Amino acid sequence: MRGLFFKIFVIFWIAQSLIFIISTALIVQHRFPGPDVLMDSLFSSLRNQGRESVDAFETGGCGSLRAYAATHGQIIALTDEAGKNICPEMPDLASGNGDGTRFQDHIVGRQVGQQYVWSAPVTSATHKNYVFLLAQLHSPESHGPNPDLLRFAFPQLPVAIAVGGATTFVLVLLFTRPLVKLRKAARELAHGNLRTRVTESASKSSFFRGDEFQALVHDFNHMAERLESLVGAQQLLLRDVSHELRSPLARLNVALELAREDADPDTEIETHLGRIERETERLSKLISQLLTLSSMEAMNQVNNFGPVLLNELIHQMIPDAEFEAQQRQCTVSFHAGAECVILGNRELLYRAVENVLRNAIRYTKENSEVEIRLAIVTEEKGGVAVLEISDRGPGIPEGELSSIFQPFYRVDRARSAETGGFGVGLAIAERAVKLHHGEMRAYNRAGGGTTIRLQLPLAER
Amino acid sequence: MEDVLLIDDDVELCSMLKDYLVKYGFRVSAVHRGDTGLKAALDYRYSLVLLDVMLPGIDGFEILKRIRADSAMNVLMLTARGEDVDRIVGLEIGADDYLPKPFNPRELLARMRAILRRTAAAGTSNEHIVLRVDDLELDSAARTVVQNGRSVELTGVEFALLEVLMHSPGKVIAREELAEEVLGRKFNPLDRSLDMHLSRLRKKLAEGSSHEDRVKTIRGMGYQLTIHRNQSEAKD
Repeated sequence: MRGLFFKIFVIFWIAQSLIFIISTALIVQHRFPGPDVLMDSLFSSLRNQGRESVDAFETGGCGSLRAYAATHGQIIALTDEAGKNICPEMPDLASGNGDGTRFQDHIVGRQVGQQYVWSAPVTSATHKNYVFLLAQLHSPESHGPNPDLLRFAFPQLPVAIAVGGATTFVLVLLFTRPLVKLRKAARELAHGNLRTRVTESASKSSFFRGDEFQALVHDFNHMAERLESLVGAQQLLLRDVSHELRSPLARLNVALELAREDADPDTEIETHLGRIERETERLSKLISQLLTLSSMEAMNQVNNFGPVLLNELIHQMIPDAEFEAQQRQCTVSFHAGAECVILGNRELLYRAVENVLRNAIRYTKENSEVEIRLAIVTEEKGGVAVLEISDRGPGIPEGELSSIFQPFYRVDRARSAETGGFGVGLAIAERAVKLHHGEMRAYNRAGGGTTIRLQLPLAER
Repeated sequence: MEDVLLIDDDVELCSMLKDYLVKYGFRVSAVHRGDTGLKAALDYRYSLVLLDVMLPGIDGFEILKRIRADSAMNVLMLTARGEDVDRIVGLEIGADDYLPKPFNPRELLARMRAILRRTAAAGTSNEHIVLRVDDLELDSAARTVVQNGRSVELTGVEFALLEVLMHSPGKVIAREELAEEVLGRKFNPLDRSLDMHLSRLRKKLAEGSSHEDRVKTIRGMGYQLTIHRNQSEAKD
């Protein structure tokens, strides 16, 4: 967000400053004649003077020309086409004139000694060509930047740019502050915290109320509310359906048992009933998992917090896990790198780890090993227990690694029927880990198989 | 013939359970409302009450609370599966055991028998054993516990727990062992019932004693009855 703030601020400020500079320049140019205008008037007066002095010379000779020069108080001279001074007693302005010998048909200015000499070609009424020369003590100003611009703009322009910067800053702040808030809220929402709302501006002035950003904040909150209620309704539905299924299932169980009692154990009926019982058990298990999941989703916080030693927790589930693994000719190994104590709910943690472990045993190849590794990693926020459970199963396509924690998500529908999972176990585990402010990720292992990594913040000692 | 009271609003389930339990020698009376169920439970001393949580009238927890107010009658709660709160609350109030619905009837039968066995154990035993540890005195025949001359009312499970602990005071008894001996089933780390029963027992023992915490939890191992003074075990 700093990026956006910076971009808008810089662009606005530069644009504003450019507008100030350009408009100042335009005003200066408009108010003060530019060098071209000065030159034009200078040249025309040179031509006029040249014509007048040629007239004076033609009518009264050198004496009249001198009188003309005296009345105007200027140092002038006249030369012929070849550059020779016509009146010898007049100052020799043509000397030092590098190419004074050649007649030039336009006005030229040159530095001669300390003087600046203008030479203008003049054609008299008798069609004779002369060159009128006028000396000035100083060279004309101009050439280079017009100093008037700086002098005119000095205190005002920087002040205007600074004020522009300040107002732009405020403006951009007005833009980006609600954006920052919205972005934060959107991210929270994406993380699954559906209760996130953006606080609507409490400012009492009606100036800020009712602008588009406030409307956006309002709409965002509306969206979040709708999302929350929809997701809530879905979870409620799932829970209610599971709840309602329990009663018929309980009856089914008893009816089945009654049927078994009456059935002749040697007939085929018994095997059929056994099958029905297995399926009923599967159904019960699914419902219980769903209810666990929905009750966990309704939880925002773990209650019954207490210190839980992860090593002990894992040791407790290993005998059962080994038994299960043996049936598939697999083994379970546990490598504990450290003693990890976590502040949490023992039951939820047990369930999380057990679900992941069972999943690994279910998917690993026959005659392979399921590895459990426990270690402590120090992060900036503090110590984190890292629990990795790795199998040698078929692995998960890279694109689906993050989806496997969604309930009922299964990588391979055909396979899961034979392994007998519902795809709820990992969702339960992930939810439990999240309730402990932890993180759960899946990786593919080199050499085949999957690693599920659970990261849980350690209890502070 | 054991008299069992079944309080559940599922009429069909009740009739099937009745058929099933009768085969195993139980006399079952079924009630489908909370209020009438409570009345039935208080009117007659049943060996066992099977109590559902969700009931019209009064809910199962309330019934359990009222039963516990004046008797240590055996109560097995049929709780909602997946709702940890339900079963923890049930055990806190003082249910002897719980079974999540939907249950396997064989499992129900096993649990009922385990509860009844605990109650019956003393009655059939020929030996009259009185255990004494510090200020506690447990009479296994009369099923009474006296602490500092004050009688302590315990449920069947609590009594059985205390009995096991008092047999070897000062020794740490593994959770697995306690579960098998008292609850009659294999220890399951997810099953908090042992903890709940022990915490109730602890509370009851703390009421009449100056010692805090008679029953100690040894993390990761089990439980231990602490000794403060000399111990003695007398047989008459």
